[in-house]
Amino acid sequence: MTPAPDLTTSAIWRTRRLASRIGLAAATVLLVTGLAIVMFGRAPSSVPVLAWACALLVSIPILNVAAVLAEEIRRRDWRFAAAAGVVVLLLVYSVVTRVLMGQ
Amino acid sequence: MSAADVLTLLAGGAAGCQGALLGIGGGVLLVPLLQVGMGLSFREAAGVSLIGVLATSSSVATDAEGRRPLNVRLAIVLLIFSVSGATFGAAVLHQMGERTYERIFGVTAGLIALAMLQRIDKRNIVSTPDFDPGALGARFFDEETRSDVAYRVRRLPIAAAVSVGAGMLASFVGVGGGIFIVPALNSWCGVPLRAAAATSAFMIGVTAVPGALTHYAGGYLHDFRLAACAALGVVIGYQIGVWLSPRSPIRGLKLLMAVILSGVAIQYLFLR
Repeated sequence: MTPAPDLTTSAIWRTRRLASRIGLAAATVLLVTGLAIVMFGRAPSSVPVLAWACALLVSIPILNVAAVLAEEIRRRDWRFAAAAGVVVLLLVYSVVTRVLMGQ
Repeated sequence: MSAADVLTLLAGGAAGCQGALLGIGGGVLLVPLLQVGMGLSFREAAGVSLIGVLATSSSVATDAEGRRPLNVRLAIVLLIFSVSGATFGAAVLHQMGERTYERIFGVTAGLIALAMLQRIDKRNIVSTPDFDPGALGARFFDEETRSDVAYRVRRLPIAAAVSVGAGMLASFVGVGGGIFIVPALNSWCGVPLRAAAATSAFMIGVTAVPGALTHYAGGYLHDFRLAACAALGVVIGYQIGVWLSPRSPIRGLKLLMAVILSGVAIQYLFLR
């Protein structure tokens, strides 16, 4: 049986990590900024800042799965590409039904 | 910042440290603290906890390649089941009483703690270089034995079934599900603890997405200040956990996991 290739050394995976780092850094800056606004007594103004930080934290795992999908398509390993595609579709379903449609 | 904010920040730090060491999101710490300590409703506590879980998983996503033995393909296969479970759980969130979910959670945690203790000294790795790890197994450098080791994934249907359950619980009670996935992979499926922890840490954020969005859409995630404190604590605590990880013995990590699971089981079965 062919052993599983190490996906974590590819260019797509490195790009994914860089994007995740930027996303987490931006989320951390927004979290600190939002909490600083709260400390200065302007709590209502902090809500959109903190909401954007939370939205970034939600988007990073989705980005990870999308990167796995792209990498498996590049390798033409359709079994694992299909598996990653199913996970992406389930996540898209959650975003559409819960946030966009408000269910 | 209020005392509640500081306490949530510290709990987030402990949760992040747990995430790096054991591959769990820390929801088992955050939910009871937010519910009992801060007086939030169970659903509100679960919503805040899921943001902490997302922060743990996002921290894992920034790890350097090769630092942790992440098995991406095993994670993707199991994510089909855990995200399906989480999506289903999010859809039927209000069909049963909260107490029912808590009892299910407690029984499962207790059973897995027993399984973990039963196999405390068993290693799932093989050091022979010609060992075939199969399509879902992998090789990695083991810090403890200072050698390249390999493992093969066994009993995949069990891991799939546990992932479905973990996904449903993620939506129901605000945990990432790692607390079930890591022991199951390690005890029943032949995956070494560090590989199980890294793979689970990758999975928990994805599994938490349907639950987090459902709690947000349902109006349970309105206290962004506490969520921010939890997330910030996780980001800091995760870095401490990464530093501790290669310096922690496997046996100690398994014992710690069993103790945490036993505490969770007792709390949800007898103390509520």
